[in-house]
Amino acid sequence: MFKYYDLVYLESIPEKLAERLGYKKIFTTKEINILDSVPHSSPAKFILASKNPGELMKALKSNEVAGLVIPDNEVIRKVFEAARESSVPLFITASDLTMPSRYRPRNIARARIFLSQARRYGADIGIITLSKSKEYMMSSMQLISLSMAIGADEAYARKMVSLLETCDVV
Amino acid sequence: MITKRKIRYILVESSEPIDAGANFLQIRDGIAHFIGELGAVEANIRFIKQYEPALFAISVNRGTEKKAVVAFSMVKQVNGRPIGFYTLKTSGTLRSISDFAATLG
Repeated sequence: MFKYYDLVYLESIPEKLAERLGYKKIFTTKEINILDSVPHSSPAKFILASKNPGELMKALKSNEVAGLVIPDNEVIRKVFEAARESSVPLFITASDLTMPSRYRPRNIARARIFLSQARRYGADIGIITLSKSKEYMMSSMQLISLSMAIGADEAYARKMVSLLETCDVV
Repeated sequence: MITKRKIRYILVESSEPIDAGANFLQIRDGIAHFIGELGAVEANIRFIKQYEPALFAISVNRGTEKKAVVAFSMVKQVNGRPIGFYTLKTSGTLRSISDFAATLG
């Protein structure tokens, strides 16, 4: 049975809320660093959020990288291949898909393509909310349904929501 | 022949207290904005019961619950007020939903 995890940009999350929303734990940025460039030396595991292919490739060579977030879900083939080789997961940001804007349909369509292409190249794909406020948080059930809406089957969708467990941050 | 409506109940929590019954048209509009009017008709979303100021149950037609769950993630404001909705449980019986809601209290 899967255990579900989420990562948010908030300072702290009450443990009770995480349990209500169906997660084993919701990580905050106090627990997992989210960086936009690869540090010279990192004492702890980090997630890199960048569109820069050079930074992403550099991060994949680091032992401390726990995952990658590519803003706007841009498809970068060589990053997918390198992520598969190094077994580093890529994460889709759910709060970007639920944010009301005229670009929401485009963002959802891009996430669909990102997921199918990444799976085609054999990279592991996860989904996290990365929400900056309580309004953008989602329950594990919502994340699973959203993953299914962008093309994952149910078993894979469940795996996507539990993927933080495999990143050595749990 | 009249067939019985087969429904699923969904327990929903909101990030802020809300009178879901009084504001249900606005919530339904937010959902319809994402799944479309035809999708909303197909789902036949109805307000059922308010358990707590930020906890309520709705019903949808069976087979549309996944769509409704995603649509609730897309509703981010009601009457101009920022709000988020989290779906906590789906079930075929209201009793199961009520029992679960009681454990959250």
